[in-house]
Amino acid sequence: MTAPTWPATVVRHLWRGLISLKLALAIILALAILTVAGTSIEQMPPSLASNHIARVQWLASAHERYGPLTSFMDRLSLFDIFHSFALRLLLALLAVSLAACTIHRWPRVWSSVFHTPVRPDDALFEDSRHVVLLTTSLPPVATIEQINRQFSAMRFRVRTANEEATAFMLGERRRFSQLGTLAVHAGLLLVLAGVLVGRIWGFQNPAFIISEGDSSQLGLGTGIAVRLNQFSDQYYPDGRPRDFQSNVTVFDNGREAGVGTIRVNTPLRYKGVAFHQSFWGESAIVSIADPGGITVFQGSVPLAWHEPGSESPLGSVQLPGDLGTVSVIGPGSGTEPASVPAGEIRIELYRNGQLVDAPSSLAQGQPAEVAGLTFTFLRESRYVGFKVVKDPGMLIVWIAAGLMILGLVVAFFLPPQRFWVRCAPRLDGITEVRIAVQSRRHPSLNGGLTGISKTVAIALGDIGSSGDGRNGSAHA
Amino acid sequence: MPEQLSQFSLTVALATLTISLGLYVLNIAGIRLAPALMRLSVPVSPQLVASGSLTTAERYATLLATNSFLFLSAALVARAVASHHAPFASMFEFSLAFSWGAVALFLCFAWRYQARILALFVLPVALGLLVYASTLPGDLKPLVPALQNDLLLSVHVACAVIAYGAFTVAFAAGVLCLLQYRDNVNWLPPHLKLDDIGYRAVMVGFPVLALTILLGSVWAETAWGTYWSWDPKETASLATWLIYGGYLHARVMRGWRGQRSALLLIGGFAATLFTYYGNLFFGGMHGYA
Ligand code: HEM
Repeated sequence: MTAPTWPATVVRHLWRGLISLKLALAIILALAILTVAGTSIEQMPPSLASNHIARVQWLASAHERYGPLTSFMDRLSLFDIFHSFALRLLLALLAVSLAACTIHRWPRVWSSVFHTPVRPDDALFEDSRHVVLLTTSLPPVATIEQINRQFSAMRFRVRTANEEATAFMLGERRRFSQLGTLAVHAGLLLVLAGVLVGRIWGFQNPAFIISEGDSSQLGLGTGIAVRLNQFSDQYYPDGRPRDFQSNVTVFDNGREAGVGTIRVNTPLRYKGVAFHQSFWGESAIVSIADPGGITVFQGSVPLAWHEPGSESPLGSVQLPGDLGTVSVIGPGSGTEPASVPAGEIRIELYRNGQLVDAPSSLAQGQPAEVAGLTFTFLRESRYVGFKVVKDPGMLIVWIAAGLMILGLVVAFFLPPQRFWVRCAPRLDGITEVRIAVQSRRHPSLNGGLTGISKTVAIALGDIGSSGDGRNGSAHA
Repeated sequence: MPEQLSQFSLTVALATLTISLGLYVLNIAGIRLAPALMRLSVPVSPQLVASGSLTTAERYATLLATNSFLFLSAALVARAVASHHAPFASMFEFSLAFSWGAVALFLCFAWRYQARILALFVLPVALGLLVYASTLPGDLKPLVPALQNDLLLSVHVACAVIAYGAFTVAFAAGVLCLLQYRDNVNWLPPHLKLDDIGYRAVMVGFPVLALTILLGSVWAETAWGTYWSWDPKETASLATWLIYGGYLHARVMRGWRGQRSALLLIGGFAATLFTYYGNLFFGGMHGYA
């Protein structure tokens, strides 16, 4: 025997650590603590991640609540737990540990399902909590045959073996249920894999905005464009929303692919891409002409944004060349003094980030001139913001979760039943029958042992049942 | 009319549940006092002394608990009839449903495992929920569009109710197991049995909560576009599920069976309550109108 080399030792220790229940418990409880923290501490909206100024503003508001702890908490990612390194690390560790457990247990479960020995360790017949002792005057082999008949009638799969004068029997029912726990862990691993697939091969556009009558390219390499034909909304008499509908036409690489209606809770799906109605609002149809009277823009401007701290909806248009950028501001719902009168819009023209000019407001159909450009507010319209999601991992996640739940039900409610029987002759010619059950899961209920042994006792005409035998430990 | 009916049923359920709990407590007081009374040579029915057998007080208490279960069911059905949707749309309705689930699973477990003693900690929870519900506005409201996916939503919430009910039973078993861990309390079953009951309640609650979360995620995908968005309520229920997952592992580990895993049952129930009350703290997309 040579001592194992140190890399082999390290690997073995690592493996033992990975498959240990202690690690599983530690990972699970750490995840629980992290998720509880994520619901107890207010989390930053995900949209802030890429916007430094908004992030700083948000942290300032958090400062009112957490005081000097704020920057420390921010450094620990406590305001963004669900995108934090710690959570990713734990999930990765969980995945590795689950994989290790599954690989480690697979061969054992497999051989336990298919190759359980008919003759177990003798120790199994000594544990009084899981053993019943009967006695009979039949010889061992005849006894086993009798018991075999009983078990087979109860649809057990029975195997027998003899060893000298002692006879053994194994009766099994629902062997395959042993795969339940394996399915739980493999299913969970598959859930994590599905999440990863979605992350890698999916995409999301939370605000794909189209004005009524317009069409818009989705981009993201899809070649898909969508036209919003019509949007309609219904309300309850008390003003609460009842339903919203968008009628759209989908184009695939310029060819019309079909018409559909998107409603709340009824997204439109096309080639794995789901379009969900997410938000809606007013848009303004404007026309902009250059000093020579040539139209440089005509179309709807969705007023889908807000200046920080303002309630007025806002949209913008990038004009060709160096003509600048136009902000279109609609009437706000609020009571701000600067708000635009109902039914009108305000135009702000920016060049190189500087405000060039801003007339007070524009009524419908009345052109106004700003820095040589002529602006006309033609009419109001509406836009819908769609959330567009492609997630090829979603189906994997759901199927895997279903598998996991199925595994749980099997593991918990359809447990495998397995009884070992040993019939050994005693010196006085009496045969001692021991029936053992393997029931780690339910210590107080003995996996049906009592019922089974009663049936067997009656069949054998058990001669020792009223005396010493009943409880297995009696021989001591 | 159904609204009055539901109000009436709620009141009756509250009253019967209170009396039922009172009788259970009296029964235990009787068992505990019996030896002392006998020593003072006060005549005591021998029935009272044997804590395993069913006493008259216990029989009436169980009858009353069953009765309040029926009235709670009537209250929920009456509301469903009146509002044309499953009664899960407001904190009031959900509190009622949670209470119903707790009583329902208590009755199942009390009957199946002869463990009426669970009443001691399940019924106060159910009562608390009813008292809390009666402080909330119980008027019927139409559903906002996102909640109109009726079948999926109903099954989702029904599963949540059953899981919460099972976890309430597991909590009661956990507390009793802690009280009994030296097996020296004469009015309690042995701690191994209590441990087993707690485990069996988690065996019901754990898969059902998993199903709740799965259905919720299917629903979230159709309603909000993503199957998982770390919304506080879904996150809290995941945390709850994880704690019970921890419990299931702890229970097969050496040194964690019994006391420590019973503590996890209590922690899991705290998380359950947090999930249920959650939207009062954190709003989010589950914020009921
Ligand atoms: C959130 C993650 C996990 C969940 C939900 C989960 C779920 C379960 C369930 C339901 C059981 C059955 C318990 C019982 O029969 O009472 C179980 C057992 C077990 N789990 Fe996990 N598990 C998770 C993670 C892990 C990990 C990471 C490991 C690997 C270290 C692991 C290793 C085991 C082992 C060894 C058993 C005992 C198997 C047996 O009783 O036959 N589990 N798990």
